[in-house]
Formats: sequence, C-alpha cells, structure tokens
Amino acid sequence: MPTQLGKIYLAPGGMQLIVTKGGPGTLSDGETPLLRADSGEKFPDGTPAGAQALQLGKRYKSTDGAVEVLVNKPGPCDLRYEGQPMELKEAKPLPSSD
Amino acid sequence: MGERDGPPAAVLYELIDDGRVGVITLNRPERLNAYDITMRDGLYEALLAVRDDPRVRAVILRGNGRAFCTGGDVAEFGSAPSAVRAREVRWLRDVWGTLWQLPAITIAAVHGYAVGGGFEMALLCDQSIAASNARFSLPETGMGMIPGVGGTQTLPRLLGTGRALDVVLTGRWLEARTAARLGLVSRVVAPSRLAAAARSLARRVAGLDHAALKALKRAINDGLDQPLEGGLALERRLAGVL
Repeated sequence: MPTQLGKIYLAPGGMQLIVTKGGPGTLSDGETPLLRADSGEKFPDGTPAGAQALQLGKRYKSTDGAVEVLVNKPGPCDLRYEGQPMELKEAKPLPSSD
Repeated sequence: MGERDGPPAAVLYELIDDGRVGVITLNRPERLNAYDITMRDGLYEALLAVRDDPRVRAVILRGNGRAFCTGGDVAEFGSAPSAVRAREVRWLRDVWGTLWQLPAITIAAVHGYAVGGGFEMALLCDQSIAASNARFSLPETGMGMIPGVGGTQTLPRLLGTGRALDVVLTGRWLEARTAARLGLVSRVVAPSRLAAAARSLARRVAGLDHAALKALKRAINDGLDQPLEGGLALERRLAGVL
C-alpha cells in the first residue's frame, strides 16, 4: 500500500501520523501495516503495538529521506517504512542570530 | 518540544478538541520565557507541525510562569558568529514568517510581561487576548536596536505611524486596558479567565468552515498590503470560490 502525501495513517496503539512526503512503499508498526484513517478499516482486537513512544509534532524520515511523516497523535509505534525503521528527523543545529 | 528525558522543553505543543486546536506553550518560566535558541527551535518545530496538520484550525500561543515572553534572551545577545551568518539563520529558520503565514487562526493569550519580541509575537497573531495583569513594551530603540520580530511592520498597521512611533521611540509600558483601547488586543479578562477565554475563542473558530476561515484570513492580511481596489478584487476572487 503506497504512502500517500497528506493522508493520515493509524497505528494499532493509537498513534496517528500525517504524510508530508509520500512514497510507493508501506508504513508499518513493526510487522503490522498502518491503516489509512479514511479507509474505515480497524485493527483486529489484540493487534500488538510497538514499544517506541512517538511524540506529537515530531517528524520521522525513511532511511533514504524520501518519505517523511509528522506525528499528530502521540502513541506507541515501532515505525517502519518498507520494513526499515524510520529515523527521527532532527533540525540542523543553527547558532543564535542575535 | 514535549517533555521527555533531560531538561524541560522550551516549547510545549499539544492538541485539544480532537486535534482541531493546537496549544503552543513557551516554557522557560525561570527566564520569564526569554527567547533563546532552544525556544526558537522548539517554536519553529511546533509551528511547522501546525502548518502541516490540516486538522488544526486554531492555535493558542501562551506562556508558562509569570510572563508571556520577555523577548530575546540578553544572555545570547552578541553571540551570533557574524552579521552574515545571523541573517542566514533568520532566513533558514523563519519563525516569524511561519507564524504570520499559518493557515490556522492564531490567538495569543498574554499575561504578565510581553516585552520586545514577546510583544511582537502577539502582534503577529490574528487575535490577542490579554489578562488584566499584562504589560507590553518595545524597549529595543533604547538599547540601540529596532524591533526585529515584525514589530516595525505590524504595529503601524494596527496603530498608524504616529502612535506606532510613539510606542517604539518611548518604549513606554502599556497596561492591558491601554493596549485594548489602542486595538492591540481584542479583549481583557481576569488572569484566572485567560486560558478559558482563549480556548473558548479557539473552539468557536475551529467550528467554522475551514475554507471560509482561510479565505477570510487571506483577504484581510493580504488585502491590507494592497490598494483598496486590489483588496476588493482579492475579496471578490476569494468569495467566488467558496
């Protein structure tokens, strides 16, 4: 399932994200593919959630940087893209401008 | 941005009302929310999160502790590597341009001191609600500087040039009710009512039609930068696509 720009995806543990850079691959929480919020689908009861606590407002990127997401509801999720763990996107350190 | 291990984050960000209202809290109370690099980076991250989340219709900007924000942290003054690098940094991390251009309606909830850049942050918001204990000042001119968070542009648009110059040249304190009388804040409430008043306004705004809100904000903000004829044409265009 492609990762579509501007779409919101849900993880089994309640984490929610919005895609800010899309790509052809699949987002997942560990082995469990995330669901598109507008799909109407639900995770089966007992679907396990990942252990990593994702924070509101943080961005994650795929290993090649081509796909990016923004967490808009915090929650547990071992976030992956095409099976590879996504990395926290850190802002480039900049000095004071004063 | 949120609170995890290590020191408290300089900026906190949360979503309420099913994600339709963002709350950004300046969180350096021990420094009266003076604006330093950590606050700059945290605020920028939070503003980008608001910008990129289409659910967010309104955002409240507030401060923790005794002050809304006391402007640039003097401990960092003069620490920019060079004037050229400082200009580059302001361009690379355009906090104020991002705040001004947010599609969401921005509401400053101001209490205590709002000084320099803190005052100017509120001026960049679409609406400001002040607690009765709020005090505003732009002291930069007396320090050999000029307001650098948009104040030279936002203040005259609200006050006209004469009164704006009076505020900037004198650096005098404006009490909350004076600020309201001048049109710099839309309402003054008791300090204990500030959070509720800001949330009430944000909820009301968040319940309005999103496309109409965006069009309204654009018509007013962009229209002011044009002659009346251009502003009226802009309004016609925006109204025509709703």
